[in-house]
Amino acid sequence: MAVFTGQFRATFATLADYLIPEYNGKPSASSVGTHLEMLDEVMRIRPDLEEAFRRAVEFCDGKDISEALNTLARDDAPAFGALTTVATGGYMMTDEARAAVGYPGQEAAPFDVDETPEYMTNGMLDRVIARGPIYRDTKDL
Amino acid sequence: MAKPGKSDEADVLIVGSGPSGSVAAKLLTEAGMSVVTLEQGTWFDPSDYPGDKKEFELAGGKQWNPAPNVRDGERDYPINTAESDVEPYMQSAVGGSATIWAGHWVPFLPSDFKVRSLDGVAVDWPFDYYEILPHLEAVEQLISSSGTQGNPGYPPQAGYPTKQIPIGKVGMKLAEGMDKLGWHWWPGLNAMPSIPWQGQNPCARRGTCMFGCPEAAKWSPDLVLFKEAKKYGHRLIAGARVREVIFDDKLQRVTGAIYVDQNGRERRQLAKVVIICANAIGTPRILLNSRSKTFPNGLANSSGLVGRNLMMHPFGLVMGHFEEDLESWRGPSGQLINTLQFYETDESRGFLRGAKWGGMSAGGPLSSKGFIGAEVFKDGGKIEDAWGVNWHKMIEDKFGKTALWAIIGEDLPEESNRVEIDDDLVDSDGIPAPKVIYKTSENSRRLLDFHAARAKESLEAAGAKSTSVMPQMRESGWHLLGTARLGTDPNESVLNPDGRSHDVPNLFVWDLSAFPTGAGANPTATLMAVAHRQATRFIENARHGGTA
Repeated sequence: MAVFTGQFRATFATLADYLIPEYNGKPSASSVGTHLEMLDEVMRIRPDLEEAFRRAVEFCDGKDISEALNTLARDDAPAFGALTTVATGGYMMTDEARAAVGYPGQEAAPFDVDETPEYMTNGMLDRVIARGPIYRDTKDL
Repeated sequence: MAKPGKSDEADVLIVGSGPSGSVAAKLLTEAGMSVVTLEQGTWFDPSDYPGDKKEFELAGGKQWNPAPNVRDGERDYPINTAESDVEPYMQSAVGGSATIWAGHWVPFLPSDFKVRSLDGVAVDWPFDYYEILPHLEAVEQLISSSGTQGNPGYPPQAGYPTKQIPIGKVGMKLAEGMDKLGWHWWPGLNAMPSIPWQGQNPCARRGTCMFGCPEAAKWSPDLVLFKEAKKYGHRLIAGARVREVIFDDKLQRVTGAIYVDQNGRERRQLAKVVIICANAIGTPRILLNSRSKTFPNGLANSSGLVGRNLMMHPFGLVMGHFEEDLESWRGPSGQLINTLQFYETDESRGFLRGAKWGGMSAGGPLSSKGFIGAEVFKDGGKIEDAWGVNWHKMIEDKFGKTALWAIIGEDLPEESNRVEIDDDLVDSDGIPAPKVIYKTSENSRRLLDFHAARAKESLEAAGAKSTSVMPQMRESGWHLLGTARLGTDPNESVLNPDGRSHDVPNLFVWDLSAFPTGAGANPTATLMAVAHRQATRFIENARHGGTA
C-alpha cells in the first residue's frame, strides 16, 4: 500500500485545490479529503498511478503552481494525467462532491416496461415508419 | 507434458468461449457430441464488476480497461500495436469480450453481404442476408433481446422476446433532432432483457455495460449458454492458453491442441474436430503459431491470407451539450436509439459504404474529462483553460447534459492490414505474441468526416448549445474482423462457406476472423447468427456421415 508523508499530502492538497477550487457552492478538493482518505482510496483502486502521480507532485513541490503545472502538462503528460486522475477520481467519489453536482452515482433505475413511450404517442415513430424502408434489398441479386 | 488417453478425445474441441464459441458449444453439445472448450481467461462473477461501485470509472482506466495492453492482466497476452492506428480491445474471460461489450444488437443489413455486387468493392459473402435471417431470429431468443419490432431499416423479421428498455431523456433528445430533419431513427435493440428472462435479470439502466454488468442482465456467454451446455455434458476448461493446434502431417488432419494451464503445465486436448473462436487477433495468432512440415507458414495458410485483411471499424464520437438536465449518466449503454439514415452507399459523398450511429449516454463524471480533458493543452492552451473554475464550469455545462452519437463505419478489407507473429514479444507462458499492422484508409477517414458532420447537424437540430467531435479515435478497437476470411476460392480465402479450412478438412474457424467484410455495424448479432448457421450445418452434415 502506498505511504505518503504529511508534507507530500499537503503539497498535493495545494495542487488539487488549484485544479478543483471551491466554486459556486461546490467544495474544493482538499475540503472533501482528496489529499487524505480519498488519496488512499484512489491508490487502493489504482496502484498503477502511484509512480507518475508521485513524479507530478514532487516536480511541482516548491514551485509556482501555474508555471509548474503548465510545464508538467507540456513535458510529462503521463504525470499530469495521473495527477488530474487522482484529483478528480478521489473528488468525484465523495458524497459532498456528488451532491454538489447532482450526481447520484450509477444507481439502478427501475422502470415500468408496460408504460407506453412518448415517441409512440406523439407521432415521432410513426413518421419514421411512414417514410418506409431505407435499406437496399438483395433478394433478387 | 500431461499425456491424455484415448478416452480424452472429444468429438469437438472449441478454442475460445466468446459469442461464437458459446453458440457452437451449446448447439453441438445438445446435438449429442462430446465438446470441450478451452478458454484462456477465467470465470468472472458479476459481483466483481465495478459498475455498482463508486470506483467504476477509475477501475475502468486499468483493471477493467478493454485494451489488454493497458489492463496487462494475468490472463491477457500482449499485442505489439506500434504500427497500428487503432488499439485493439478484447477480454480474456469465460464469455470472452462479451463480458464487457455494450450489448448493442445491430444485425448486418442485406447490402452488407453483397458489397462487390452492389458497390464494386471488396468481396461478396458466399451466402446472403436471407440465409442468415432464421439463424438471427434464433439467437435473438438466446440472448434475451429487448427492442421494438418494425424498424424500416431492415426487412421484416420475427421480433424480440422482451419489450423495449426506455430510451431515457438522452434517447428522446437525440430522436427529436432526427425527427426534425426527417431522418431515420429507431429505439435501441439490445442484448439485455427488460424483464427477468431465461436466467438474466432485467436491465437496471446503470449505464456501465462496458465495465461488465453487475446486474447479470446484459447477455454474455458465461451467464446463460455455458450453463445450459453443461447440462448436456459440455466441458469448459478455463485458464487454458492454447500454444498450438496439432496437425498430423501423415493424416493431414488436426488432432487437438496443446495448451498451458493456469499452473503453467503444458497439456494436450485431443479431438476429432477443432473449431477456433479466439477472435480476429487470437485466431490468426494460434494458426500462425501452429507450424508443421505441411504448413511451415502457419496452419491452414496455403493461401497466405491467415492474418490478412484485418478490419477494425473506424469509430468516432459526436457529442451534443444541452441546456437541460438529461441525466446523461443513466444507461443502458446499450444503445438508447440508433440510425441507419446514411448506412447505404451514396458515391456523391466521396466514399463507399456507410455507418451506423448509436445514440448513447455520456457516462459518469470522469468521462467528462473527455469533453475537454488534459489533452486540451496540446492545442496550445494553458491548463487553466480546462482546470480551476473552468473545470467546475465545464461540469456545470456538460456533465449530465450530454447526448452522444457513437459512429461505427465500415472498414473495407485490405491485405496490408494484418496480424503477424511478433519477432520478440511473448506472453507470460512464453507463447509468441501477435503484432498488428493497421492503417486507417482514406475511405474510412472520409466516411467518418461525413458522418460526424451529419451527426453534428442532428444534435444542433435537437437544440444542442454546443457540440464536441472526437473523430477516428485510436482507443476504439472493439470490433476485430477478417483475418481468416471465408469464401469459395481457396486462393482468395482461408475457409469455405461453412467456416471449414480449405486446407484441413477437420479444422474450422467460426469467429469474426471468418467475415469477408465487416459492415458498418456492431458485429456480435451477425457473428452469433453466422455461428448458429455454421453449427446447424455442421450437425446436419455429421448426421449424414460427414466430419464430426
